[in-house]
Amino acid sequence: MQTEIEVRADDWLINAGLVGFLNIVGKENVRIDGQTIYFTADLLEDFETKYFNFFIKEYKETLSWSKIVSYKDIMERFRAEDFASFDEEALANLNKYMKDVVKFYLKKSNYIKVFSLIDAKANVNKWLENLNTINLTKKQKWEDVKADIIEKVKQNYTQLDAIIDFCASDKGLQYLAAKNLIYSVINKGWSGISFLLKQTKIMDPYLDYKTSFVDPIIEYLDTDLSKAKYNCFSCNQPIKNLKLDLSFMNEVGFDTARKTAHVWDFNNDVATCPICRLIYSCVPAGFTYVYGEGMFINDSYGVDELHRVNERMRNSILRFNKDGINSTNTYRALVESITMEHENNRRYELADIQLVRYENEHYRFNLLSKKMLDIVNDSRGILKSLIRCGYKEGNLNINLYKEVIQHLMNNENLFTLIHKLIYYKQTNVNGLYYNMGHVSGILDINTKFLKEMEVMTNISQKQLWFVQNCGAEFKEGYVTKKSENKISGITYKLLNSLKVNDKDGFMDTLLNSYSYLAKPIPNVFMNVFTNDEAFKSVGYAFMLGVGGEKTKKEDGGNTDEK
Amino acid sequence: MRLKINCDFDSKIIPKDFQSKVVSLFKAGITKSSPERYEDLFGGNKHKQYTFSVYLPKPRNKGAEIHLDEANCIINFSTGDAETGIIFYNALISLKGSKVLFGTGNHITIKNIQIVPEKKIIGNRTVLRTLSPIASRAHDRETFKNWFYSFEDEEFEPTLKRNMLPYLMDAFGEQARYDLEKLKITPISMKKVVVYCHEIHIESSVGIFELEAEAYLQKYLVDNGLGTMTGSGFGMVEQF
Repeated sequence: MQTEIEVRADDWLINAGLVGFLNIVGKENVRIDGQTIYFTADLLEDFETKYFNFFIKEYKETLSWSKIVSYKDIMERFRAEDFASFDEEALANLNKYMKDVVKFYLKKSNYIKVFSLIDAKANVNKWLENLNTINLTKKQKWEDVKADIIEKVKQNYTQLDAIIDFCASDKGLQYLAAKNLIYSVINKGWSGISFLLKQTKIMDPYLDYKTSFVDPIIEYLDTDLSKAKYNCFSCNQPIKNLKLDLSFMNEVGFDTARKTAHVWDFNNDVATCPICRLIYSCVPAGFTYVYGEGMFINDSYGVDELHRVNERMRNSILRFNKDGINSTNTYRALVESITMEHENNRRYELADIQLVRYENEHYRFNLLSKKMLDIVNDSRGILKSLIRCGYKEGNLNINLYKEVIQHLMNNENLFTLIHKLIYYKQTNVNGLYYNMGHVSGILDINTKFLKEMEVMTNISQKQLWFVQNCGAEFKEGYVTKKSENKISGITYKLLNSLKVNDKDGFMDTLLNSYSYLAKPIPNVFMNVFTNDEAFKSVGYAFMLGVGGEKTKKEDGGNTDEK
Repeated sequence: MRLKINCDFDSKIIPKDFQSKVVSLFKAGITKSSPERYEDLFGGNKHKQYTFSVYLPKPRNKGAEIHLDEANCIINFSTGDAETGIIFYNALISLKGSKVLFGTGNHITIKNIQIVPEKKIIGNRTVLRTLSPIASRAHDRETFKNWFYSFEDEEFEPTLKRNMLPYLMDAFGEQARYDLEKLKITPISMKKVVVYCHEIHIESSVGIFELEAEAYLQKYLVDNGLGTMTGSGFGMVEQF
């Protein structure tokens, strides 16, 4: 029997699995040597419990289980004071809790399946039936019926006690949380086998995991592989057959039985050894998920570093977040964890780091270049102000922070975004949560970006601010001439020319307008014709000035306030 | 980009060589508003990406002077280059209202500047009208002598193309050479005129003609002037 099992860091997917594996078993229980980890087979004992425990520990607060259990505190409080402060609001909350939380979740077939595993004697259905919503008719006055109601509440409380105790028990947590996690976290990484197979015959997800992933390893380690024909696709260890393919990994594998067109000459050789398969099953533990979006930093310099960076990111996403968890925070946490790293660490000067995101059920890849990190680091102040900014597109809420970071990560300039933001603001679209100052900040970031990319060098930040000022003066000119209503038409024309990079068109409109005002055109416009980016930067800076909210304030209020 | 500049004179008498005085006016303006650009524009002997023409009310030649009916004129200015356009616009607006020497004891004052909307160019043929005469110049590299042709000469069109080739190649590259060869000028109602400019008499052509060329060439020529010496007030055309 092989004494030590070796797993090497490799591509991003196995790396994510590796980080997940380290998270599950604990870094201290394995031997890390550069790009490789070593561990003995006895570490796999009771691995399934460790596997779920890790997820429970990380995601406990986000689970519906904790919604059910956390009500206990409120109940205890009312009991302690003998329902003295129990009022209509508390009653409404209780009703809501019973209907939307307890009955809603505990009637799901997922959970029902594991009730017998938690406590075979418990009759959850009966408890739920005995939970009755307490209604107040319109005629009844709270003071008159309070005593009655509290009596009813007490009855409900006894049922709830039973339910919460049932859920909060060790086994309750173990199974209910596991069931919850399977569908909220683990299925982001893989699906279709073991407890994620719809037709699975094993009720107990722990056992299911053990039979699918852990047991095969023990068996594999005991097998004589001297005559094995095949090799593991990932680690190149000998394997006997090609049964274990990668089709269970989301977005990565393919069904080798049905479609072999992905491999050379239609002869499938994509199969893994049980050890690699176990590592792959740990991918969800390597990623950090929030609202279905996941992130993984594939900093594969060494396993130690790989683990550390991802741990820091997970910590800032799931724990240190005072504003609560939301979808922009994944990006913020990423930026913070990386820029923090960036300050303390010289090594990022050399390397381009791969960032893997899981979004809308697809994996997306970016390289975090030094340039991008520099820009983000330089613009931290502006970025911070964008965290709560956004706009609505149909039913979709778009967050500016996220949008900007995404653009930067994809090495895209921000002109289209800036265009959109100015345009929306000018046309008074509903659901805009930003002001021109924010857009101006984005333009600043964009200028930095263009300079980093070395596509634009001749425009300074100062000049842009000057142009912005010119835009404001331009608008003032129209206001003093009592022709504010012309501005929207001009804005429209100017924005259009900017969008299609029509310098002549832009200048024509500008010249026309300035001649209407009988003023000279600011000299800075003359320097901008050297390249498209400079032209756009200056153009948009001008538009920001024109679109400023100055005059609206003078009228006493924003037009947005409807 | 087309500008229409309305100007007033002190008296009704202006010098015969008024084009060069208008250039002086431009120069004065640019020195005032953006002196850093002066060298670029007038420093060397290079093609100017603009053209202008001067409309005079009923001019009568009297020796070295021109007598007008009224003491005013309109300068039409055109360029296809936005940057040049701004420089000139700013230059002219900086001179607005102030008196500038115009020779023969006369002064010119810019009253106002208007932007003239441009017409779109559609198709390969346009009928054009000259606003200032078209010059076609044969330059002898050895004797440094110039010979000007009017539309009546056979040499007119080939020379004109030779004049335009270098700057069109600059603007559009090799493609321009082939498209320029295909360019055709058909006089509709033209006449030969002799213009006194920069102390020489120049034979040139005015009137209405048809221009057959690729649309981008047409646009360039309508914007920046046709032929040579566009910077001295030659070759400005407009769609008829």
